[in-house]
Amino acid sequence: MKRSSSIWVTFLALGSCAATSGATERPAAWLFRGGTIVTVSGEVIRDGDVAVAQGKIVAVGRGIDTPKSARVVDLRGRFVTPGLIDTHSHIGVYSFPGVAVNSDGNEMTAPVTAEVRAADAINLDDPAIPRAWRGGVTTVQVLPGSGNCIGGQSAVVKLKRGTLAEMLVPGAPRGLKMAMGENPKRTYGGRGQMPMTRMGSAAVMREAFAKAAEYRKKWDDYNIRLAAHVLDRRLPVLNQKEQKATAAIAAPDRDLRLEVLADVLRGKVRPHVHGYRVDDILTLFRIADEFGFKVASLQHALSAWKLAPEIARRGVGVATFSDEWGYKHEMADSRLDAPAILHKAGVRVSLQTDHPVIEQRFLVHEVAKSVRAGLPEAEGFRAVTLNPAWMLGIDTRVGSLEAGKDADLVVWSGHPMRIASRVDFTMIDGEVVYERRISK
Amino acid sequence: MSVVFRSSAVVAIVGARIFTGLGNEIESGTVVFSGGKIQAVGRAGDVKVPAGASQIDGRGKTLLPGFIDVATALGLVEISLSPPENDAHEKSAKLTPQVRALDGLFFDSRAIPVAREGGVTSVVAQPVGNVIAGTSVLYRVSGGIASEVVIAADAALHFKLGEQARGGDKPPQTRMGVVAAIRQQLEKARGYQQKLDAYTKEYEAWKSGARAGVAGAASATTEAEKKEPVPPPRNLGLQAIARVLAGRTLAIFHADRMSDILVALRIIREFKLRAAIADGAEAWRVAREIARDKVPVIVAPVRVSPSRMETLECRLSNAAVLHAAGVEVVIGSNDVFNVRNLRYEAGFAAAHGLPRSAALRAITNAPARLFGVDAQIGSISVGRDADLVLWAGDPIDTDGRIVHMWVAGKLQSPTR
Repeated sequence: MKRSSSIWVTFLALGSCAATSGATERPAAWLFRGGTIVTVSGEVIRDGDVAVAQGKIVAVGRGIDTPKSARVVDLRGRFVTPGLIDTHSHIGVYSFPGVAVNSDGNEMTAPVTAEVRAADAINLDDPAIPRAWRGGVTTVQVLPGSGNCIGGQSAVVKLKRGTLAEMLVPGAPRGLKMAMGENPKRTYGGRGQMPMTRMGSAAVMREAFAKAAEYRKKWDDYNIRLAAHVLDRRLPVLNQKEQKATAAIAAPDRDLRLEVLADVLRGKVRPHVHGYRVDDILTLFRIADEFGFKVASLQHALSAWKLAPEIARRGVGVATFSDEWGYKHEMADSRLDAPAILHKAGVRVSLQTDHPVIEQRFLVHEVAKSVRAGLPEAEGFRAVTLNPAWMLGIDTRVGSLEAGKDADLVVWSGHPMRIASRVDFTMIDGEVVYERRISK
Repeated sequence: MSVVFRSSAVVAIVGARIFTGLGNEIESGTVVFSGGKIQAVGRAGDVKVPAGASQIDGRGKTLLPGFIDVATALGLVEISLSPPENDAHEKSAKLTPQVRALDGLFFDSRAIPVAREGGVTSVVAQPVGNVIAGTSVLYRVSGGIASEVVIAADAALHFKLGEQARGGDKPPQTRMGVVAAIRQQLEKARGYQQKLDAYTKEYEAWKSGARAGVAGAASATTEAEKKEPVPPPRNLGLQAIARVLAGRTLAIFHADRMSDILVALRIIREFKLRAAIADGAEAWRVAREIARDKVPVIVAPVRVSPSRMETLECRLSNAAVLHAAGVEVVIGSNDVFNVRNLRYEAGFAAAHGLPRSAALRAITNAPARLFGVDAQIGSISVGRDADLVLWAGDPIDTDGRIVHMWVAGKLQSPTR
């Protein structure tokens, strides 16, 4: 299919504005021509092109026209994929080098610290970021650790060099890290504090959400009364009694911890929950049902394959390891074909690194091992692009090569899931953050 | 078609591309083994398949020696975060040359069959964490008890430099202290050995004198009456170090920072040790110095990240740079539960510039030579143990799959 050159017009007009204003000297438009285009949302296009302008993908297909000002990259059979996405990273909050002073991911001073935010602790100069480009990773969810039952809020960021504001993915729903099983028990049990058992962990969570439900009600009542008050004030004359009543409407005290949990109950914050064992996953579902919130994703979840139909029924995503196991008792159910089993049962699966547990740059190798163990290749690509984007609520913006989406893409020297292949280009929002020097 | 194998039977693998482990390849070759030993290797036309041999069609596949992972604690750690199931680190002191991995090895470890999934047939399990950590054990991952699987009981003595050797709640506290402690131990062991040698001499003299006395010569009486010499008190730690000084045990220095690697080279030269560097995150920065001293380096490309100050300059091209400088490169997994991924470590090294043949050697013949067991394992040549893996696809990439695997001639199930 021949694309009309009109797709370029709007974008290049904007592009020349940017260039003349001196905002950037980088090419505003790119054409990646003649490669295997793994669109993820659609077919794999052989001998296809991807056109980029003004930070967005403007066309994907065959035989796209080249405008004069675009930098053309001749793919010569190389592969293009969307930038890879990981729902589980501690990049920046456990910055390299992993010395004690860089340990900013676990606020282990109370089992519930919903008020803390990963965004406030990300080291923008983490050496893991440029290394991640060499593995084609462009977007990650930075999570607090799993030392607490409710560890804090996540940050969904693009791995760009810049300010935090430039890194945060616009419009990404807020996320909350929760943890089941051994880790919170180990943290607090060792100090003789609650939770020391799985019973304790569940009680801590239920107590937190019970308080959050009350808090939510207090604020909802207040907001209703306030709205009524605003309506009242439109009345031309208030009698004295009425005036007194409206003055008495005072806002409840703000509690940042409960505010976040209340937003979970309102469906505004997505819980991403660390856990391994079947009983931990079921306990979580019980608590979620009791308080009426939806779990966005199960994280790690090495036993999830045993519960695949139940997880599928609930529409909960699973982000898992390819072959990590052994360091904890609760990892005993690990199997290489777990992602394949989950996918077959209709669960949306993604692979993860838990960086720095596995270094961020090796995300593609993780999924390659799961594909080797039976996950269909197309699903493998989805598991590090569109599926994690869906879990994070950013799938209309990133995760596939489609016109209108952010220009986050990776050029691979060969099949992306082969170790022998290298990343040649990594592009985020239309800017090449990494280009491999190829010696001839 | 189903083939029934018996370990006593003669097996012939015909038509495979053979990577011998010695750096050469046979495009279409035949390997014959029986009684657990390789009997013949050569081009398909040159090797006669004995009558009655079970024939395996190797066409389109690659035959390699079983891989050897010399950087693991396999069998010492069952669940790392569960102290009763972690026997790799003897934390009671930082100088524990007397401890032996062999004595903590759990032969039923769940991680052993998993190692086989990656074509690994032998490993060196090492004690970790201490300045002098103890001796490692080289064993076959076929399953079985010590007497059946151990190839070398005291394979190497492990020394540790750098961040993880210093600090903590026990001396030494600084890098200076770490190196001083190692030197002091080496000197003590030298003194101990001298005392032992002197005693042996004295004892021999006393013994021959006593014998002469029994023989009846009057002049021998005084000799016979002389008191039997007393041996120096036994010190197992110093004995272990003395074996290193005598070149009978390999010394492995775990060091990452460039400066720590140079310190290791200094100690190796000073005490004339048969030694290797392990971990070596920054080894590429001093490749020439390492090559000059002819010290092999054991690297783990993927498992090393800039997670420590001393590994900030780690590179996936480490192995390639070392090899180009003439250093003997060995690749290890630095893992316990995923020893099966050793082949991927070699794959990443190859993807980042290490010649393919060197990458394959780095997990077969190179580690066997380093540990002095290359007459037994690590290559496909006559007389070697039949640790053989037949692969479809690329053995060091994700498309590689094990078709058949033999450990000491016995067909193994590669999967759990």
